[in-house]
Amino acid sequence: MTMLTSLIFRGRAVIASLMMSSGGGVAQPVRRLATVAEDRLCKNGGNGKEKGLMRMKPKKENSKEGGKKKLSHLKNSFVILLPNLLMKKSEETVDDLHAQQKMPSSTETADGSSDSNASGMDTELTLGLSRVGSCKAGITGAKRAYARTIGLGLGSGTGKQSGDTEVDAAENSAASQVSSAGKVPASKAQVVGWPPVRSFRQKTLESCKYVKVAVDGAPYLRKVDLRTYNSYDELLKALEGMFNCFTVNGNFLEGSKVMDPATRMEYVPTYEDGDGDWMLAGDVPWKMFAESCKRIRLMKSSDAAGIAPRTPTCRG
Amino acid sequence: MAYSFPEEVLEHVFSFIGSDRDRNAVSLVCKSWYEIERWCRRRVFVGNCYAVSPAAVVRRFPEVRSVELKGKPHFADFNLVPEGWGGYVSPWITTLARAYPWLEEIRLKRMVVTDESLELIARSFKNFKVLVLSSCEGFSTDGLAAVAANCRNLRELDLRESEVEDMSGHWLSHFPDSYTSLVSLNISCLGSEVSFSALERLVSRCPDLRSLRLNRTVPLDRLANLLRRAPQLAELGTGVYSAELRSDDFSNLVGALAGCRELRSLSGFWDVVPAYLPAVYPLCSGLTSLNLSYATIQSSELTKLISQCHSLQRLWVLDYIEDSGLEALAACCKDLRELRVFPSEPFNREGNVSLTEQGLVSVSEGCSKLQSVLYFCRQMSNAALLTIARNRPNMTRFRLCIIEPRCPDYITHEPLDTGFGAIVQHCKDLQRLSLSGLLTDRVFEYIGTYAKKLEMLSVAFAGDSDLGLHHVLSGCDSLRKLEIRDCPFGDKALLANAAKLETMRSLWMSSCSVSFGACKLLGQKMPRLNVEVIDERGHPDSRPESCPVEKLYIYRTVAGPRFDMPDFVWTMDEDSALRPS
Repeated sequence: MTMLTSLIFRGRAVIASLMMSSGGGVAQPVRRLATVAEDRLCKNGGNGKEKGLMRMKPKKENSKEGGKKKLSHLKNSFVILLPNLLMKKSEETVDDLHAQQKMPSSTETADGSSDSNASGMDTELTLGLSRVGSCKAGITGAKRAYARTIGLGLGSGTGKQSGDTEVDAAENSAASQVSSAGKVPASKAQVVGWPPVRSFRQKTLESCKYVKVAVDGAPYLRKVDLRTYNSYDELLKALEGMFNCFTVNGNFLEGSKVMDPATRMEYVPTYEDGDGDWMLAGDVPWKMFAESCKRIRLMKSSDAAGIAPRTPTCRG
Repeated sequence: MAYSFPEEVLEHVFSFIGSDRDRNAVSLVCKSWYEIERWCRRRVFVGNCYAVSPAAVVRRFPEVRSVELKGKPHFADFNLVPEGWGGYVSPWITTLARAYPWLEEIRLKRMVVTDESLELIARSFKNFKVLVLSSCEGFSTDGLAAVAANCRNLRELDLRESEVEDMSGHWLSHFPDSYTSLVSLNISCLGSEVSFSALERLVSRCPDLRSLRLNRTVPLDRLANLLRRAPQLAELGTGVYSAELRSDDFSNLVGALAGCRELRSLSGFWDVVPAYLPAVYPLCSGLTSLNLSYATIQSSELTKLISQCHSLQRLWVLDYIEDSGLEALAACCKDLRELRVFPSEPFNREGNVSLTEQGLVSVSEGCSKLQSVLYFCRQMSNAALLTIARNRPNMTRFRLCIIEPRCPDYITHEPLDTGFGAIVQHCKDLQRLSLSGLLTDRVFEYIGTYAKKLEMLSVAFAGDSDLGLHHVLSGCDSLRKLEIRDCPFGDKALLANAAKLETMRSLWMSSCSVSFGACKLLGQKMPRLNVEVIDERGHPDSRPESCPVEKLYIYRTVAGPRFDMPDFVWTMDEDSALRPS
């Protein structure tokens, strides 16, 4: 029974150390902790520093050994907390704690020598060192994991807009984060599920970027999602794949055309813009093109006689 | 004395008690009240389909007419719950089909529904009236065809935001010619065409049709015909709102719309062409609900429309409305209760529209009845939040999403703790809150201290330590649902507040720091919780116990661990042995 009682006391200690390790209070019950906490914060450089850790910093390799060490501390405190818990509700525990706390202004430091503090309080809080240490370790451990997750990168994903592919990419990268610290995915990868927009809504708003692609002489049209490409070259390659009968000669930037090797027929990529005019693809920057393009037609070169040859200044 | 009342009298008294909570309270008074109440309960709501077994429900309540179930956690809406996690309705339908031949209503949210289940529903319930499938998936138009063909008394078929596999648009034709009882039809989520002639005939022969929400494929030039057949409509969701309308088509549309004098709610407006919006102007003064959240039009057009809607109570709109449009809203729509502003380009880091915190501040000033807000924006300040809080202490739902995670107050560069603190302090009846922006443990302290009526809290990229979580779990007396992602919350607060979890429906934590060891411990010690570890990296035993789990879903249950889990979900339980499916 004494064993259990001491376990209960240790449990309160953990909660006490939790309360003391963070920022000041606002409301009645936590006001008394404010001085202590603030002292502590000043000494460690407190929250500001921690925030620095949490922001976009590439994380260090997660040390498994360190993890194990933390585990033993944590494990003890878990076992301790729960018997306490089963005896009382958690609210009571914290209330008891508040009732008992007499807060001398503490000189508690980051490395957790809370003994000086404890002397001013009930014996419950004497089990300082390892507990506070574990608490802190717990916090650092938490931050490490936290830094891992935010390493997913918050880039704008201007290229890929298709929700599903991004989800896959981000989830894969999340999975690999455990072992591959610091391999922050490229800025194109987005955080999964953020911002919290339902996929139904995303799909609805995005799907207006599907445009029809017609090829002169082909019996049916195709549709492509312009948002999945980042350049004219990518688009043309995709079209090449789709229509199967073309190769793209050389590089779009150099003013080459799409060609069907079998018939030696050359095609010029044209598109209908927002105003309803038919334009030669390639004159404007890709993004502008993607925004304004309503449909695409690969026109036979022979029919495209009226369109001036592209100047070398076009951008891909 | 309770036992001196005849049962019939008590039953009659109980029939006036509708809310589940009151009914539950009644059933706790004494054994005879428990018995009487359970025989006359007609509606059951199960907020988590795994919290209780279908058998237990039908055993306790033998005479139920209406069942509502919810499956996946809310974060499933944002792809955080992997495919295959669960939420299968099939065992429920099987049990309900056997136990409740007179069942009339089934409402499901975020559940996996199969065609077989729909067919079973169609066959089993002779007086079936209402089917609502909200954000569900797993079924096709074949299942819908079965429902259409067999449910002679169907009043309501609502598929809102479900994912339906399209086998054929002809499912609608399965409503027999003798079928005339349709009151509400919502097919706005369907991707493919439905047979227009079948739709027109259906609409023609259902005189009680009050709510019709079409899908995108219904062209604008067919809308007039439909409306002329249903001038009694109260709610209309248009199909695509663009076309090459000839002028007589357009005036036809105007006339048809004007003929719907009961119309109070409008939605749809996909691909809207601004030139055709004036067709709805005659209806504006009567509108109470307007959903323009798919209308990709500019602020001036939106403003022109909204400024005429003096009776508007609910507005859903894209951020194209901008601050100027929201100012107009504040000036013109004094009856506004609910505002939702969605992002037009959520994945664009830079803003594309001039929508800031000011828009929300304006609305909070001008609309005294505003209670419910969902607002996506790119900047916020503590000062603005304080103003909003002071303006609207009657706020009950406040969901703010600042698009960039951990974005500070753009003026002071401080965390937004005090702003949200003001919200919870002033809005004493706040039931639902979603946080965003840069937040420390302090905001959770405020929440734990003041948000005593808070039932649902959503947290992302916030907090510094376990203390934050501890504040919430220990302070929020009314908390039922807590969902957290990407926060540095670990084992301590969770374990210290384990008992709290039994008073809540559920807790979701993903990309946090809860270790596998803690999950096991929690599962061992709390038999009335299901502690589900969701981890797609493989069996948690292949990693150290201190390693944080990817995702954690904890919910109270009297049904014990479930057995329909995929191979990346494990329930921690008393044996401390993992139980994969």
